[in-house]
Amino acid sequence: MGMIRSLLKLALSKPATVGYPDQMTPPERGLRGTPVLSLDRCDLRAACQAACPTGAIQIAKGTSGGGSWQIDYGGCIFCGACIQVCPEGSIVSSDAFELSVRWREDAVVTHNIGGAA
Amino acid sequence: MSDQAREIIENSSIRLSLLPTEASNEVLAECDRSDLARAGEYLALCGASLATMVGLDMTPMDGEYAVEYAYSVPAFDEFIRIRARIPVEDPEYPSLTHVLPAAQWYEREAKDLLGLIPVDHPDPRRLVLHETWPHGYHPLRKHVSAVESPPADHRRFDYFEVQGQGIYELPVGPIHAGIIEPGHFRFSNAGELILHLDARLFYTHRGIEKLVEGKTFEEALFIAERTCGVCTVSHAVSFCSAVERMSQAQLSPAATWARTLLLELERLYNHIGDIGNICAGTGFHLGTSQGAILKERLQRLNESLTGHRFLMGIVGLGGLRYDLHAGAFARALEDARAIHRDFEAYMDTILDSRSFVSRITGPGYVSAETVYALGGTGVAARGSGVASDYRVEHPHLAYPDLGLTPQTELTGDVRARLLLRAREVLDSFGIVTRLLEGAPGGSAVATIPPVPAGASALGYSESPRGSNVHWLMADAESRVYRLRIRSASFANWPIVTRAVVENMVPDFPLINKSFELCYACCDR
Repeated sequence: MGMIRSLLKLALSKPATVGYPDQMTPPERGLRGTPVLSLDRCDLRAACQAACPTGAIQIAKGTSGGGSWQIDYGGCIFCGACIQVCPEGSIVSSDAFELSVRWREDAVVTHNIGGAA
Repeated sequence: MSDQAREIIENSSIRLSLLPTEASNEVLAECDRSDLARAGEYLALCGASLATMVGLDMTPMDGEYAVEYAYSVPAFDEFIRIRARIPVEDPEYPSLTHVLPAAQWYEREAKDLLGLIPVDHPDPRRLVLHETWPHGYHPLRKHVSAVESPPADHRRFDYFEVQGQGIYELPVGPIHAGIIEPGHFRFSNAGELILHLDARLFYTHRGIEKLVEGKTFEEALFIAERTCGVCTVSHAVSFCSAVERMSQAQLSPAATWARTLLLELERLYNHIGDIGNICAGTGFHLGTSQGAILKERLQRLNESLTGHRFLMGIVGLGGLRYDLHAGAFARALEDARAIHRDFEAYMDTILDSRSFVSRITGPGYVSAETVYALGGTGVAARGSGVASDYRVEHPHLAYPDLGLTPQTELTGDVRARLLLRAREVLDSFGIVTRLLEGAPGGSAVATIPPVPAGASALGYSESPRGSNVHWLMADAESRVYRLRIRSASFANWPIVTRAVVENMVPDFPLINKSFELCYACCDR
C-alpha cells in the first residue's frame, strides 16, 4: 500500500528540483557565505590576516598609509574567523555561495584602500 | 579512576606502573613491551575492547619511541591506556594481532608512519604508504619535515592471491569506478562467488596527523574537523573534548545542549542519505531520489541553524565558535517534525517494494564474532547484534539525560543495517525535537583553561558511522605534539572485506553502501 499511495502522491506533486541557474532557491538566512569587506571602515590592522586559518587573506600596506586587502576565495573555508576578529566590524558574511570562476586568479579579489593621499 | 578500574589494574599479574592522567575516566599505565600482548589478552577478558592504538616518537622528550594501546571498558565508562617504551636502536615490539585481531591495521600503520616494527604480525605488508614512498622513510618521526617531498621510489605491492583451478582475479580500480572516493579492490573469485577481497585504501592520505603537529589547538581544530566531509561535527567534538579533558574545562549547559543537537542533526542527514544510497545500490531509483529530497531538506535545516549545510566551523573549544541562530529554532522544530512524518511514509514506501526487500535480505552478512574480533563500531556493529554505542557506553554531553538505549538488529546483512539506520533516525528525530523544544538560555561560546604541558587524553563521540576517537598529546608549549585520529571508518573497513566473502560480485556495491564508510577519514 505504501508504494501505491506514494506513487499517487508523487504523480500529483510538483518537481522538487528547480531550473538552476535560471531559477534559484534563496539561501537560508544566516548562511555563512563569502566574507566581504566594507571598504570605508577597514584600517588595515590585519587582525583578519592573522586569524585566517588558511592564509587566504593578505594585506599589503603602502608607504602613504593606504594599502590593499586581498582575499582568495579559492582558499577560504568559510569559517568566519576574519569576521569574528575584525575590530572595526568591517568584514561581513554575504549570502553569496556561487564560487566558480573561469580562471584560478579570478577567485582572488583585491581591494585598494586609500591612504592619506 | 573508578574502583573497578583500580581493581583490574591491581589484580593483573603484569607489572604496570601508573602514570597521572588529566581526564577522570582514563587510566594510563606503563609496562614492558614484552608484556603488551598479555595485557591486551587480560583486558579483553575483563570486557575491554581496543579503542585506538597510537605510535609515538618521544625522542625529543626522552629519547625513545613508544606505543600505546587504549582500551574502552564499556561496563563502567573507563578507558585503560597501556603504554610501552621502545628503544630507538631496536624499534620492535611483539605484535598483538594474534591475541587481538582488531590491532592489525593500527600496527601496520605505526610501522609505516613511525617505523615501529610489530614482530610476528601476520600481515607485514605496507598499509598507509604506497609504492612511491622510499624504504625507511617514516613521515611521523619528529625529525621529518611536514612539507618536504621524499624522493620517489617504486616498491612492488603484492596483493593476496587465491590459487586453484578456475580461480580468477577481478580488479576494481585503480583507483575506483564512479565518482566516489578512491580505493582499489582486488577480488579472488570462483565463478560468481567472492572468495577473498583485498582492499587497498589510503589513496587520500593527506598527512593530517603530521600537519597539525606544532599547531595551536585552535588552528588544529580547523584541520581535524575537516578529516571527513560528512562526520565533521563528530570529529570536531572528539578533538575539542580531548583538549577540554586535558584542560579540565567544564562545558556550559548551552554548549552541551548545542553539541548534542549538532551530533544528532549530523546523524539524521547521514543516515537518511545512506538509506537512499542503499536504494541506489539496488537500482531502486524512487527510493534514491526520495531519500535525496529528505536529505536536502535536512541540510537546509542545518544551514538555517548554523549557516553551513555540512555543519562545519561551528564547534569550538569550550563549546561552540558561534551560537546557533535562535531565530531559526521555531521553524527548525516545525521542519524536523514534518521531515519525521515524511520519513516514516518514505520507509513504508521502500519496504513495500518486495523486490527491493528481497534484494537486501541476505547479502553482506557479518557475524557478531567478526565484529568483536575486528573491533567494529557503529552501524556495522549494531547491525550484527553488538550493542556498542559510545553515547551509552561512555555517556557524554546531554546523552545521559536522554534515556537512550542502543538499537540493534540481529541478522547482520544489508537489510539489518538499513532497518537499524531507520530506527536510529526515529530516535534522533525524538532527540532533536526534544532538544529544540527545551533550548537553554545563555551562550555556548566559551574559553577553556590552559592545557598543561605534556598532557594527553582521548576525545570521543559517536558519529553516524560509529565512534570517532581522537588521541591527543600536548607538547611543552601546550601545542599539538601528537594527534591520532581513529575514525569509525578505519575501524570498520576490515569488516567490509569479510562481509563480501561468499557473496556475488554484483552485490559488492550494495554491501559497500550498506556500511557507507568514508575513505578520506580512514586515510587521513
